[in-house]
Amino acid sequence: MTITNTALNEGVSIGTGVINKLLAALPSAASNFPSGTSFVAAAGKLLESMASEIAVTGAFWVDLANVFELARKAGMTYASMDSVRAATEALTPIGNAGQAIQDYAIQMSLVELSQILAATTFTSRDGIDAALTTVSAAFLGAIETAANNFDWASYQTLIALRGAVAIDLNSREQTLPRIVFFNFPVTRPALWLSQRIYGSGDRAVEIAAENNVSNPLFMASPIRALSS
Amino acid sequence: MALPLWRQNLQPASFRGVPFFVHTDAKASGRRIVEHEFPKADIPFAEDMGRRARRFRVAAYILYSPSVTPDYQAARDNLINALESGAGPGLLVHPTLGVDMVVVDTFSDTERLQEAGGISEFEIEFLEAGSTAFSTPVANTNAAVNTTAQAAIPTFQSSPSIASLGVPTPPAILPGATPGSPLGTL
Repeated sequence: MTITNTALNEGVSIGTGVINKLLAALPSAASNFPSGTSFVAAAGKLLESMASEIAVTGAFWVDLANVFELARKAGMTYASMDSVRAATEALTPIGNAGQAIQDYAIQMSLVELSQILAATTFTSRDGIDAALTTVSAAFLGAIETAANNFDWASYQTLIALRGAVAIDLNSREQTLPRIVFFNFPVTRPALWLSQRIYGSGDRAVEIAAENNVSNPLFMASPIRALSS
Repeated sequence: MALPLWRQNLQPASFRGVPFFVHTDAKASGRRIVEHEFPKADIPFAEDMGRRARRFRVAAYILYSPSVTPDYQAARDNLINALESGAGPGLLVHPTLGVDMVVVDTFSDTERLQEAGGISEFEIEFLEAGSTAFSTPVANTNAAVNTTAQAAIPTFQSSPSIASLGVPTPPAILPGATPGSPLGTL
Protein backbone atom coordinates (compact mmCIF):
# COMPACT_ATOMS: atom_id res chain seq x y z
CA MET A 1 0.00 0.00 0.00
CA THR A 2 1.29 3.48 -0.78
CA ILE A 3 0.15 6.94 0.09
CA THR A 4 -2.28 8.75 -2.21
CA ASN A 5 -2.16 12.51 -2.55
CA THR A 6 -5.39 12.84 -0.61
CA ALA A 7 -4.07 10.67 2.23
CA LEU A 8 -0.78 12.58 2.24
CA ASN A 9 -2.57 15.92 2.45
CA GLU A 10 -4.66 14.66 5.34
CA GLY A 11 -1.55 13.24 7.03
CA VAL A 12 0.25 16.57 6.71
CA SER A 13 -2.80 18.30 8.13
CA ILE A 14 -2.91 15.94 11.11
CA GLY A 15 0.84 16.19 11.71
CA THR A 16 0.75 19.98 11.46
CA GLY A 17 -2.13 20.09 13.92
CA VAL A 18 -0.25 17.93 16.44
CA ILE A 19 2.91 20.05 16.24
CA ASN A 20 0.95 23.28 16.52
CA LYS A 21 -0.80 21.92 19.62
CA LEU A 22 2.59 21.06 21.11
CA LEU A 23 3.87 24.55 20.36
CA ALA A 24 0.75 26.14 21.84
CA ALA A 25 0.92 23.96 24.97
CA LEU A 26 4.54 24.79 25.79
CA PRO A 27 4.70 27.04 28.87
CA SER A 28 5.77 30.51 27.72
CA ALA A 29 8.42 30.67 30.45
CA ALA A 30 10.13 27.58 29.03
CA SER A 31 10.39 28.74 25.41
CA ASN A 32 13.48 30.90 26.08
CA PHE A 33 15.55 28.13 27.62
CA PRO A 34 18.06 26.33 25.38
CA SER A 35 15.88 23.22 25.31
CA GLY A 36 12.83 25.35 24.47
CA THR A 37 14.69 26.91 21.55
CA SER A 38 15.74 23.46 20.28
CA PHE A 39 12.16 22.28 20.51
CA VAL A 40 10.81 25.25 18.56
CA ALA A 41 13.54 24.87 15.92
CA ALA A 42 12.91 21.12 15.49
CA ALA A 43 9.17 21.69 15.28
CA GLY A 44 9.61 24.44 12.67
CA LYS A 45 11.93 22.26 10.55
CA LEU A 46 9.47 19.38 10.63
CA LEU A 47 6.57 21.66 9.69
CA GLU A 48 8.51 22.81 6.62
CA SER A 49 9.51 19.41 5.28
CA MET A 50 6.64 17.28 6.56
CA ALA A 51 5.23 16.13 3.22
CA SER A 52 8.55 14.87 1.88
CA GLU A 53 9.48 13.31 5.23
CA ILE A 54 6.24 11.31 5.24
CA ALA A 55 6.16 10.27 1.58
CA VAL A 56 9.81 10.13 0.48
CA THR A 57 12.46 9.89 3.21
CA GLY A 58 10.36 8.33 6.00
CA ALA A 59 12.20 10.52 8.52
CA PHE A 60 8.93 11.97 9.80
CA TRP A 61 8.48 9.36 12.53
CA VAL A 62 11.93 9.86 14.01
CA ASP A 63 11.64 13.63 13.78
CA LEU A 64 8.19 13.69 15.37
CA ALA A 65 9.54 11.57 18.26
CA ASN A 66 12.38 14.07 18.52
CA VAL A 67 9.92 16.97 18.72
CA PHE A 68 7.93 15.23 21.49
CA GLU A 69 11.09 14.49 23.45
CA LEU A 70 12.30 18.08 23.12
CA ALA A 71 8.88 19.38 24.17
CA ARG A 72 9.13 17.40 27.41
CA LYS A 73 12.67 18.58 28.03
CA ALA A 74 11.58 22.17 27.38
CA GLY A 75 9.30 21.96 30.42
CA MET A 76 5.98 20.64 29.12
CA THR A 77 3.71 19.86 32.06
CA TYR A 78 1.61 16.75 32.54
CA ALA A 79 -1.63 18.67 31.95
CA SER A 80 -0.31 20.31 28.77
CA MET A 81 0.93 17.03 27.29
CA ASP A 82 -2.31 15.32 28.22
CA SER A 83 -4.27 18.08 26.49
CA VAL A 84 -2.24 17.42 23.31
CA ARG A 85 -3.01 13.70 23.62
CA ALA A 86 -6.73 14.32 24.16
CA ALA A 87 -6.94 16.78 21.24
CA THR A 88 -5.14 14.30 18.96
CA GLU A 89 -7.42 11.50 20.08
CA ALA A 90 -10.44 13.59 19.13
CA LEU A 91 -9.34 13.82 15.47
CA THR A 92 -11.09 11.57 12.93
CA PRO A 93 -8.74 10.94 10.00
CA ILE A 94 -9.87 8.70 7.13
CA GLY A 95 -6.70 7.99 5.13
CA ASN A 96 -3.93 5.57 6.13
CA ALA A 97 -1.31 8.30 6.62
CA GLY A 98 -3.56 10.40 8.84
CA GLN A 99 -4.54 7.40 10.96
CA ALA A 100 -0.92 6.26 11.34
CA ILE A 101 0.16 9.77 12.38
CA GLN A 102 -2.70 10.07 14.86
CA ASP A 103 -1.93 6.70 16.47
CA TYR A 104 1.79 7.46 16.61
CA ALA A 105 1.29 10.96 18.07
CA ILE A 106 -0.94 9.51 20.80
CA GLN A 107 1.65 6.83 21.57
CA MET A 108 4.39 9.44 21.74
CA SER A 109 2.34 11.63 24.09
CA LEU A 110 1.94 8.60 26.37
CA VAL A 111 5.70 8.01 26.28
CA GLU A 112 6.23 11.63 27.34
CA LEU A 113 3.43 11.59 29.93
CA SER A 114 5.06 8.56 31.56
CA GLN A 115 8.43 10.27 31.73
CA ILE A 116 6.90 13.51 33.04
CA LEU A 117 5.22 11.55 35.84
CA ALA A 118 8.46 9.71 36.61
CA ALA A 119 10.17 13.09 37.06
CA THR A 120 7.36 14.61 39.12
CA THR A 121 7.83 15.01 42.87
CA PHE A 122 4.60 14.29 44.70
CA THR A 123 3.94 15.49 48.23
CA SER A 124 0.93 13.37 49.14
CA ARG A 125 -0.63 10.00 48.39
CA ASP A 126 -3.74 11.76 47.17
CA GLY A 127 -1.76 13.51 44.43
CA ILE A 128 -0.37 10.15 43.29
CA ASP A 129 -3.82 8.55 43.39
CA ALA A 130 -5.20 11.30 41.15
CA ALA A 131 -2.27 10.98 38.71
CA LEU A 132 -2.65 7.20 38.59
CA THR A 133 -6.34 7.52 37.74
CA THR A 134 -5.80 10.02 34.91
CA VAL A 135 -2.79 8.29 33.37
CA SER A 136 -4.53 4.89 33.40
CA ALA A 137 -7.49 6.44 31.58
CA ALA A 138 -5.13 8.11 29.09
CA PHE A 139 -3.68 4.73 28.07
CA LEU A 140 -7.07 3.08 27.44
CA GLY A 141 -7.75 4.52 23.98
CA ALA A 142 -4.27 3.79 22.62
CA ILE A 143 -4.33 0.22 23.95
CA GLU A 144 -7.71 -0.41 22.35
CA THR A 145 -6.55 1.05 19.02
CA ALA A 146 -3.42 -1.12 19.02
CA ALA A 147 -5.55 -4.20 19.73
CA ASN A 148 -8.01 -3.31 16.94
CA ASN A 149 -5.10 -2.82 14.50
CA PHE A 150 -3.66 -6.26 15.43
CA ASP A 151 -0.49 -4.37 16.35
CA TRP A 152 0.59 -6.76 19.08
CA ALA A 153 4.04 -5.27 19.57
CA SER A 154 2.61 -1.79 20.27
CA TYR A 155 -0.15 -3.33 22.40
CA GLN A 156 2.33 -5.17 24.60
CA THR A 157 4.61 -2.14 24.78
CA LEU A 158 1.75 0.10 25.90
CA ILE A 159 0.70 -2.44 28.54
CA ALA A 160 4.29 -2.68 29.79
CA LEU A 161 4.64 1.12 29.88
CA ARG A 162 1.39 1.57 31.77
CA GLY A 163 2.50 -1.16 34.19
CA ALA A 164 5.87 0.53 34.76
CA VAL A 165 4.12 3.82 35.53
CA ALA A 166 1.69 2.11 37.93
CA ILE A 167 4.52 0.29 39.74
CA ASP A 168 6.50 3.53 40.01
CA LEU A 169 3.58 5.55 41.38
CA ASN A 170 2.48 2.80 43.78
CA SER A 171 5.97 2.31 45.18
CA ARG A 172 6.47 6.05 45.69
CA GLU A 173 3.03 6.34 47.29
CA GLN A 174 4.06 4.09 50.19
CA THR A 175 6.41 6.69 51.63
CA LEU A 176 4.09 9.69 51.39
CA PRO A 177 1.59 11.07 53.89
CA ARG A 178 -2.12 11.33 53.19
CA ILE A 179 -4.24 14.44 52.95
CA VAL A 180 -6.52 14.66 55.99
CA PHE A 181 -9.05 17.22 57.13
CA PHE A 182 -9.07 19.02 60.47
CA ASN A 183 -12.02 20.90 61.90
CA PHE A 184 -11.68 23.78 64.32
CA PRO A 185 -14.67 25.69 65.64
CA VAL A 186 -13.08 29.07 64.98
CA THR A 187 -10.95 30.54 62.19
CA ARG A 188 -7.25 30.30 62.94
CA PRO A 189 -3.99 31.60 61.43
CA ALA A 190 -1.85 29.14 59.45
CA LEU A 191 1.01 29.56 61.92
CA TRP A 192 -1.22 28.49 64.81
CA LEU A 193 -2.47 25.50 62.80
CA SER A 194 1.05 24.43 61.91
CA GLN A 195 2.03 24.53 65.56
CA ARG A 196 -1.11 22.69 66.56
CA ILE A 197 -1.02 19.95 63.94
CA TYR A 198 2.71 19.33 63.54
CA GLY A 199 4.13 20.74 66.75
CA SER A 200 6.20 23.21 64.73
CA GLY A 201 5.48 26.56 63.14
CA ASP A 202 7.64 26.07 60.06
CA ARG A 203 4.92 24.46 57.95
CA ALA A 204 2.50 27.39 57.97
CA VAL A 205 3.27 28.30 54.35
CA GLU A 206 2.60 24.72 53.26
CA ILE A 207 -0.79 24.68 55.05
CA ALA A 208 -1.78 28.02 53.51
CA ALA A 209 -0.81 26.83 50.02
CA GLU A 210 -2.62 23.51 50.45
CA ASN A 211 -5.85 25.33 51.33
CA ASN A 212 -5.48 28.00 48.66
CA VAL A 213 -6.37 30.88 50.97
CA SER A 214 -5.92 34.54 50.17
CA ASN A 215 -4.85 35.44 53.70
CA PRO A 216 -3.04 32.90 55.90
CA LEU A 217 -4.20 34.73 59.01
CA PHE A 218 -7.74 33.50 58.49
CA MET A 219 -7.93 29.77 57.80
CA ALA A 220 -11.48 28.51 57.97
CA SER A 221 -12.28 24.84 58.64
CA PRO A 222 -12.10 22.24 57.25
CA ILE A 223 -8.32 22.49 56.95
CA ARG A 224 -6.62 20.30 54.34
CA ALA A 225 -3.21 19.18 55.53
CA LEU A 226 -0.74 16.32 55.22
CA SER A 227 -1.07 13.64 57.86
CA SER A 228 2.60 13.88 58.85
CA MET B 1 -20.17 33.06 76.22
CA ALA B 2 -17.28 31.95 74.06
CA LEU B 3 -16.07 28.39 74.40
CA PRO B 4 -12.92 28.03 76.49
CA LEU B 5 -9.77 27.64 74.42
CA TRP B 6 -9.21 23.99 75.27
CA ARG B 7 -12.70 23.15 74.05
CA GLN B 8 -12.13 25.05 70.83
CA ASN B 9 -8.98 23.02 70.22
CA LEU B 10 -10.59 19.62 70.70
CA GLN B 11 -10.37 17.35 67.65
CA PRO B 12 -12.79 14.53 66.89
CA ALA B 13 -10.76 11.43 67.76
CA SER B 14 -10.19 8.79 65.11
CA PHE B 15 -7.81 6.03 64.09
CA ARG B 16 -7.40 5.20 60.40
CA GLY B 17 -10.39 7.50 59.88
CA VAL B 18 -12.66 5.48 62.20
CA PRO B 19 -14.14 7.85 64.83
CA PHE B 20 -14.50 7.10 68.53
CA PHE B 21 -15.09 8.98 71.76
CA VAL B 22 -12.38 9.39 74.35
CA HIS B 23 -12.90 9.02 78.07
CA THR B 24 -9.33 9.33 79.29
CA ASP B 25 -6.04 9.48 77.52
CA ALA B 26 -2.41 9.42 78.51
CA LYS B 27 0.85 9.99 76.72
CA ALA B 28 4.11 8.56 77.99
CA SER B 29 7.61 9.29 76.81
CA GLY B 30 10.95 10.29 78.28
CA ARG B 31 14.63 9.65 77.71
CA ARG B 32 16.43 6.32 77.56
CA ILE B 33 18.96 6.80 80.31
CA VAL B 34 21.65 4.32 81.20
CA GLU B 35 22.99 4.98 84.67
CA HIS B 36 26.68 4.19 85.10
CA GLU B 37 28.08 3.78 88.63
CA PHE B 38 31.80 3.50 89.02
CA PRO B 39 33.77 1.70 91.74
CA LYS B 40 35.46 3.96 94.24
CA ALA B 41 33.55 6.99 92.94
CA ASP B 42 30.63 8.87 94.47
CA ILE B 43 29.34 10.51 91.33
CA PRO B 44 27.46 8.43 88.76
CA PHE B 45 27.08 9.21 85.08
CA ALA B 46 23.67 9.20 83.40
CA GLU B 47 24.14 8.44 79.71
CA ASP B 48 21.38 9.72 77.46
CA MET B 49 20.68 7.18 74.70
CA GLY B 50 17.89 9.15 73.01
CA ARG B 51 14.20 9.75 73.38
CA ARG B 52 11.89 6.93 74.40
CA ALA B 53 9.23 5.87 71.91
CA ARG B 54 5.99 7.70 72.70
CA ARG B 55 3.13 5.57 73.98
CA PHE B 56 -0.48 6.68 73.89
CA ARG B 57 -2.92 4.94 76.22
CA VAL B 58 -6.49 5.77 75.30
CA ALA B 59 -9.69 4.76 77.05
CA ALA B 60 -12.12 5.04 74.17
CA TYR B 61 -15.75 4.14 73.75
CA ILE B 62 -18.34 3.66 71.05
CA LEU B 63 -21.77 4.74 72.19
CA TYR B 64 -25.25 3.93 70.97
CA SER B 65 -27.02 7.06 69.81
CA PRO B 66 -30.44 7.03 68.10
CA SER B 67 -29.43 9.80 65.70
CA VAL B 68 -25.66 9.39 65.18
CA THR B 69 -24.83 5.71 65.73
CA PRO B 70 -28.06 3.70 65.83
CA ASP B 71 -25.99 0.57 65.08
CA TYR B 72 -23.15 1.00 67.57
CA GLN B 73 -22.06 -2.60 67.03
CA ALA B 74 -21.17 -1.85 63.39
CA ALA B 75 -19.19 1.21 64.53
CA ARG B 76 -17.47 -0.95 67.16
CA ASP B 77 -16.57 -3.57 64.53
CA ASN B 78 -15.15 -0.84 62.26
CA LEU B 79 -12.88 0.30 65.05
CA ILE B 80 -11.81 -3.27 65.82
CA ASN B 81 -11.00 -3.81 62.14
CA ALA B 82 -8.93 -0.61 62.08
CA LEU B 83 -7.08 -1.65 65.25
CA GLU B 84 -6.35 -5.14 63.91
CA SER B 85 -5.46 -3.98 60.39
CA GLY B 86 -2.06 -5.05 59.14
CA ALA B 87 -1.75 -2.08 56.78
CA GLY B 88 1.24 -0.62 58.63
CA PRO B 89 1.18 2.56 60.70
CA GLY B 90 -2.11 4.46 60.88
CA LEU B 91 -3.06 8.04 61.61
CA LEU B 92 -4.25 8.67 65.15
CA VAL B 93 -6.13 11.95 65.55
CA HIS B 94 -6.00 12.66 69.22
CA PRO B 95 -8.54 15.00 70.85
CA THR B 96 -5.92 17.10 72.58
CA LEU B 97 -2.46 15.93 71.51
CA GLY B 98 -2.57 16.49 67.75
CA VAL B 99 -1.93 13.76 65.19
CA ASP B 100 0.62 10.99 65.07
CA MET B 101 1.43 8.02 62.90
CA VAL B 102 1.13 5.11 65.30
CA VAL B 103 0.89 1.34 65.47
CA VAL B 104 -1.41 -0.56 67.81
CA ASP B 105 0.32 -2.48 70.55
CA THR B 106 -2.68 -3.95 72.37
CA PHE B 107 -6.33 -3.22 72.82
CA SER B 108 -9.28 -4.70 74.70
CA ASP B 109 -12.98 -4.24 74.13
CA THR B 110 -15.35 -4.50 77.10
CA GLU B 111 -19.14 -4.41 77.18
CA ARG B 112 -20.99 -4.35 80.50
CA LEU B 113 -24.46 -5.41 79.52
CA GLN B 114 -25.91 -5.53 83.05
CA GLU B 115 -24.65 -2.11 84.04
CA ALA B 116 -24.89 -0.19 80.78
CA GLY B 117 -25.91 -1.60 77.43
CA GLY B 118 -25.19 0.13 74.15
CA ILE B 119 -21.65 1.12 74.96
CA SER B 120 -18.45 -0.57 73.99
CA GLU B 121 -15.40 0.44 76.01
CA PHE B 122 -11.90 0.14 74.59
CA GLU B 123 -8.52 0.26 76.27
CA ILE B 124 -6.01 0.90 73.49
CA GLU B 125 -2.27 1.27 73.66
CA PHE B 126 -0.67 2.95 70.64
CA LEU B 127 3.05 3.14 69.96
CA GLU B 128 4.76 5.86 67.94
CA ALA B 129 5.46 4.40 64.48
CA GLY B 130 8.57 6.48 63.73
CA SER B 131 10.67 5.47 60.78
CA THR B 132 13.37 3.00 60.05
CA ALA B 133 16.73 4.10 61.36
CA PHE B 134 18.57 2.53 58.47
CA SER B 135 18.20 3.22 54.79
CA THR B 136 16.60 0.32 52.97
CA PRO B 137 17.23 -0.53 49.33
CA VAL B 138 14.43 0.69 47.08
CA ALA B 139 13.92 -0.19 43.43
CA ASN B 140 14.60 2.72 41.09
CA THR B 141 11.15 2.68 39.55
CA ASN B 142 11.55 6.13 37.94
CA ALA B 143 14.45 4.83 35.88
CA ALA B 144 12.41 1.77 34.91
CA VAL B 145 9.67 4.04 33.54
CA ASN B 146 12.18 6.08 31.52
CA THR B 147 13.85 2.95 30.15
CA THR B 148 10.52 1.39 29.18
CA ALA B 149 9.35 4.66 27.60
CA GLN B 150 12.51 5.08 25.52
CA ALA B 151 12.42 1.43 24.44
CA ALA B 152 8.80 1.90 23.33
CA ILE B 153 9.64 4.53 20.66
CA PRO B 154 11.27 2.17 18.08
CA THR B 155 8.44 -0.33 18.63
CA PHE B 156 5.87 2.34 17.80
CA GLN B 157 7.91 3.42 14.76
CA SER B 158 7.81 -0.11 13.35
CA SER B 159 4.07 -0.54 13.78
CA PRO B 160 2.13 -2.16 10.88
CA SER B 161 0.20 1.05 10.17
CA ILE B 162 3.44 2.97 9.55
CA ALA B 163 4.99 0.08 7.61
CA SER B 164 1.89 -0.10 5.41
CA LEU B 165 2.66 3.37 4.03
CA GLY B 166 5.47 1.76 2.02
CA VAL B 167 8.18 4.27 2.98
CA PRO B 168 11.20 2.83 4.84
CA THR B 169 11.79 4.46 8.22
CA PRO B 170 15.39 5.28 9.23
CA PRO B 171 16.62 4.01 12.62
CA ALA B 172 15.52 6.03 15.62
CA ILE B 173 18.02 8.62 16.87
CA LEU B 174 18.03 10.10 20.36
CA PRO B 175 17.39 13.85 20.31
CA GLY B 176 20.63 15.78 19.99
CA ALA B 177 22.75 12.70 19.18
CA THR B 178 24.87 12.36 16.04
CA PRO B 179 23.29 9.98 13.53
CA GLY B 180 25.30 6.79 13.28
CA SER B 181 26.75 7.09 16.79
CA PRO B 182 26.22 3.81 18.69
CA LEU B 183 25.09 5.74 21.77
CA GLY B 184 22.66 7.76 19.71
CA THR B 185 20.77 4.81 18.28
CA LEU B 186 17.83 3.65 20.34
